[in-house]
Amino acid sequence: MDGRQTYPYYFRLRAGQLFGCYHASPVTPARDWGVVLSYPVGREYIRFHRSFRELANLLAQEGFLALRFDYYGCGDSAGDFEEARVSQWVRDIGTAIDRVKMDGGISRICLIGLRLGAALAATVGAGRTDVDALVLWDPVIEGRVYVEQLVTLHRDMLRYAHVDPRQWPGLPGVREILGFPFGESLIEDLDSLDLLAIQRRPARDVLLVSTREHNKRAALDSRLTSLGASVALRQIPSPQLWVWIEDFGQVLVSRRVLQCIVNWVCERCT
Amino acid sequence: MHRKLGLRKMHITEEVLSFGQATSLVGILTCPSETQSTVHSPAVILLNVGIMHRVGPNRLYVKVARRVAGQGFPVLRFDLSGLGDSPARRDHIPASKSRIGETREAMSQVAMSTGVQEFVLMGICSGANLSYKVACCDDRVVGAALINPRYHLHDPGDKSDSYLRHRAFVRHYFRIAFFSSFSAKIWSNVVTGQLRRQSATRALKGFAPSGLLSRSRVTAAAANQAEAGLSALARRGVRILHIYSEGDEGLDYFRTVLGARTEEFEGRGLLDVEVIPGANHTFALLASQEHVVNIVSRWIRKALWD
Repeated sequence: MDGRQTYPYYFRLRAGQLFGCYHASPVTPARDWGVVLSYPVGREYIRFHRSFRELANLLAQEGFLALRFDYYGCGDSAGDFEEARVSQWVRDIGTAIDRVKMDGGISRICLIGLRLGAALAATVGAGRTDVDALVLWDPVIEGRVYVEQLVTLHRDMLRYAHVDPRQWPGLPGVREILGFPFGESLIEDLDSLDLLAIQRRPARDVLLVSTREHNKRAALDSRLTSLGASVALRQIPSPQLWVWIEDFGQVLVSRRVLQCIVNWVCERCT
Repeated sequence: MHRKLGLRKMHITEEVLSFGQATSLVGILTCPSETQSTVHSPAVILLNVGIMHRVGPNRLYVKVARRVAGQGFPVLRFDLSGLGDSPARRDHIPASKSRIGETREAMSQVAMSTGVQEFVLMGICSGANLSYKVACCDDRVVGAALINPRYHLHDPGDKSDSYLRHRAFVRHYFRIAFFSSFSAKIWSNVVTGQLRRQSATRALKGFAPSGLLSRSRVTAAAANQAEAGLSALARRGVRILHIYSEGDEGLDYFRTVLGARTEEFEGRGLLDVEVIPGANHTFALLASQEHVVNIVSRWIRKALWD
């Protein structure tokens, strides 16, 4: 890195190159912690991109090296969305962690994930020993339910948006959901995703942030606690973040949620 | 500064560009492979939609960039300052001026990177408006593909501006309600009580009394402004493509200003127009996205290269 505070770049991966953006700390000395941010996917990725940038900036100001990156088939990374698989995305997060440790000379990792990104981050944490802290922001707990929610939103979109699916029928081989082509294999992967079934604690310290209602939140808290994680809960009701919007000129960034996450990370990642 | 990405499946490369004088703007340059590239083809620059970052709605800009680059044209999609991964500016230059400057810097950067000297600007909504503005003031622009632009053909500071916007608004809701692919759906929602309050309120506001200016004088003046702008571009040999979704309010603005003169302008080569039926502002349906990519890539090839 050349001394700037934001460093966009591509890093190599056998299955396709990934785009990432480092946010380097202006504080000297910086902390011995790297933070990897796992985006949600599809329409939620577009909607929360600005929030993640702000979150990474806030973390960098507190002395953390933060990396946000695009999974294979998403954002600026190689590949098409319809080729994506959950296993690929889990590997991508692992690769991002390895890069942060190597590039920053860092030994300790905090993962922050939102929605499906949170489920992926938890899956990664449970499969590694170097993730010490984990933030799950409105995590997808049951993939099957998540797919049902997306399909419901898609039906709402068809009802209210100025679109006529009779003139633009779906493309073959994919399930069209909110403007993105979900491959059948990805749908199967999501259907079998279940955070309540993970077998190892994903991190020593976990922050569970809820801005919307979820009837399995308590069950997830219990599961993580039973695996030996120290779980903190923060409920910050923010229904405005989840209202359907057709026009992204109205994207919101919840400073309250971001500051809550940053405060917890500062407190736990010392 | 460039960091290259090699893509095995398509004959293109993608690299990160960081450039700009006031702040470090971030973009992705997608180039044809060595065997296909030519410095004589124009480069395409994609401009942000609203506050969305450079991938565009539903990742549409990525699809456009990769398809068009695969045809032999370098494509840059970048974030204007304060959007996406580009930091905000620290000077006090208003966005209306700085965005034009940053787009011109982007062209200079692509020229340095590829040797290309001519450019096609492209964008949806605000990106389209900006493309048109820069096309009007920079001789390096040889074409602009404007997708769902609004209020770009007349001077927004003109006293007719509010009348034109109101008239386009009324026209839009009337057309959508009675003469569009969505009419049956809208009335079904009304009858079943499922019409969204926000949509209903907005539609009803459109039917408030308008200003006192004479309708024909205002729209004629706006049409003359549009003609002057488009004629100036045509004299420079700049090709302009307007793409409108059937569901977009911009289509009604376009028809309000140009009206019956649209055919005349097309006949004189001042502009090309495509209307995409059954599509909304940001092309929520996959097949409509594919259609936009096809239109754009075909137009670039036919209008600017063949």
